[in-house]
Amino acid sequence: MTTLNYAVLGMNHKTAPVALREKFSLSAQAIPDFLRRLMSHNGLAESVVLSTCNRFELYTALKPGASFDGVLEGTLGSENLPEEHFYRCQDREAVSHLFRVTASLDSLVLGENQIAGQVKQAYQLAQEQKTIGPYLNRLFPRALHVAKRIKTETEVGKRQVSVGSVAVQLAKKIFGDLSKKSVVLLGAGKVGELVWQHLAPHCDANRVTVINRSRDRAARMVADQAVRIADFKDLDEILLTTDILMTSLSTTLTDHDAAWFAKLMQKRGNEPLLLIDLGMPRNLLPGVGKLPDVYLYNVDDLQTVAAQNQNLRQSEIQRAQGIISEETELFFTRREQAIVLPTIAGLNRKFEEIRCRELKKSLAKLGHLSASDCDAIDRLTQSIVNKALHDPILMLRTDKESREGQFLSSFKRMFRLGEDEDEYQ
Amino acid sequence: MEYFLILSPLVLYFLATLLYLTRLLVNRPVLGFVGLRLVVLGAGLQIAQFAHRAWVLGQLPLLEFFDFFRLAALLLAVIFVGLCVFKKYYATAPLFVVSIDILYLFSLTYQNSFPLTGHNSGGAYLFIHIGSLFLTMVAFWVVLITAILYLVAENKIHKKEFSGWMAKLPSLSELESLNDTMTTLAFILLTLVIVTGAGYAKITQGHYLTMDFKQWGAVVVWGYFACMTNFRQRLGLFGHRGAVWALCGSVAMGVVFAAGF
Repeated sequence: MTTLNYAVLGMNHKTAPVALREKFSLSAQAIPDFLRRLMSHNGLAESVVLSTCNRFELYTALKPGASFDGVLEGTLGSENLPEEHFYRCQDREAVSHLFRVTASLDSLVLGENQIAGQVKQAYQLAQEQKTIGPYLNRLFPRALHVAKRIKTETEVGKRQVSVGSVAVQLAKKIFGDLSKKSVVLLGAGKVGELVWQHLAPHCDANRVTVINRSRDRAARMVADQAVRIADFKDLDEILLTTDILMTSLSTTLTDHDAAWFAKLMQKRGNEPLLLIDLGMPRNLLPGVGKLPDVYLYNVDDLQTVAAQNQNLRQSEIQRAQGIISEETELFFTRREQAIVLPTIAGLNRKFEEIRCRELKKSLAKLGHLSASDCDAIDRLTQSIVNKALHDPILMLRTDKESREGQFLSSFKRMFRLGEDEDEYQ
Repeated sequence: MEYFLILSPLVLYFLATLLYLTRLLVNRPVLGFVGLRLVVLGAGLQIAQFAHRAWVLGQLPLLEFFDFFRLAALLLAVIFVGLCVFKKYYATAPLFVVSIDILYLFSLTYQNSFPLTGHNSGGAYLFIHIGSLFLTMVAFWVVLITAILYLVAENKIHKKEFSGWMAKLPSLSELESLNDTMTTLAFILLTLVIVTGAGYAKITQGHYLTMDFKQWGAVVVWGYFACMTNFRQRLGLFGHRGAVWALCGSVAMGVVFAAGF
């Protein structure tokens, strides 16, 4: 029986610049034709192409002795492949790579959900084009299962690790949906601008107000006509209806102390207020954050949370890696076990035939036996055969050495079991 | 056999509680996954038992205190499962499952019947009174749970802690909204409880308002929640202050309710 090798040839955002990735990028419409041309190469038994904006990968089941040499060049009609931007891996490494990609551990944005859908789509396209067989048909559903398992059992990608995304996470923890919340950006500093870029997609521009000395700078920062630009003198009035205040001034607002905010909260009916102080020196006095329903976070606080999340994310990545190693091992064990399944089936079939034949002969001579006696003998012979075959079958299933080619062919010869059909021969 | 049937949902709820409490310590989502299914199974078993009693044996629920607490546990389980399925409030599980256990355990303690028939029945008043009282208790229980969760979540945000259980709690705004809804519902139901209780007292004791502590206590708590629901804006009962008010009110209601026994 011919054993094929899993292999991957590809490049991604880590190995190749966007200019090169663009050249290899294939649309869903172009992939069927690419697959057909690819399959004209003798060495490839099965193929799946995964083409996204960040990666181009070719997953194949390679025939023994075959390699990727010249495959892409021939298919794409180009002369030289920029080898330094491509990676190749085989067998365990290839399987593990696909598991990592599908689980989004290899993505630009760790833990994003899109990639699993793209892998599924690539698999379906290959199925439609009939460029896959038993090998990749076993691998891809398993990869999707592993991705699902990692998503359920770990928190990869759920931790925010930048100051801006932590600010968004914090705002969501307090207000839930941010689209109905009013936001005030006080000052248009660099850090403020960075954090605002994270916050902006979650907010309604009509509910955003920017207060800055330079109106032009404020307008540049938000770059949205719907955003209101106000003067500093309006701040106190605006704060009565504000949910999130983000400050990035270069001075401390000493007149807006805890007592001032306490009065403000009273006027607001104690509606929660999130204060994100990104200024240096700190724009708001620390006592303000001790008031009930006032949540004050400065840059250090956000950075501390981001650092904690980074540590937690690392431990989650390790857990995810553990799952991938476990699943890769399991995948190959099952694959090896699958090799002996036809032999086990043949062995069972042969012994069952012998049992039935001999039983029939014996029962023909024992005509005086009742039906229940015949049943008892039938069960007895079944039991003898099952017990006699138990140990060899168990050995074939569990013992790694006994699944190797030489032993397996000797075993088949010993019991005169026919050779299995091999669709790749 | 009867005890086995009565105790089997409790065993399932207990197992779910154990899993959810372990989930607080160990980051294994599968524990929560199994825990939720155990609660669903427990609730399903309870529904099957009540249905069997109603259709096969012809006994209506709420005839005994025994039923009263078991039904409350069931309703709380249904609310919890609903919140998990529709709102993904999985992190609220520890408080909900512990509450379900407590209510179910109460059901094993009080087994005396309500006098729904005979000269002391008070006509339809007692039946409506008990029915609305049961719903009020569940509503106040949810108010208590959401108020506690709000204060815990708020405390964690102030302390800048975003990992573990906290990371999965609903937002403060969502907790407050659920708390408001349940407070309003509990207040309306409490009004019905007081009115029907007074009607029952008139029939059985000759006066609408007696010197019974639970009757006076219920009126005082009603006044407290009337202030809270009607003057929320004027008193600024939002956020932290609103949660503290809801917590105190539901605890007071619990004391008044316990006095009834």
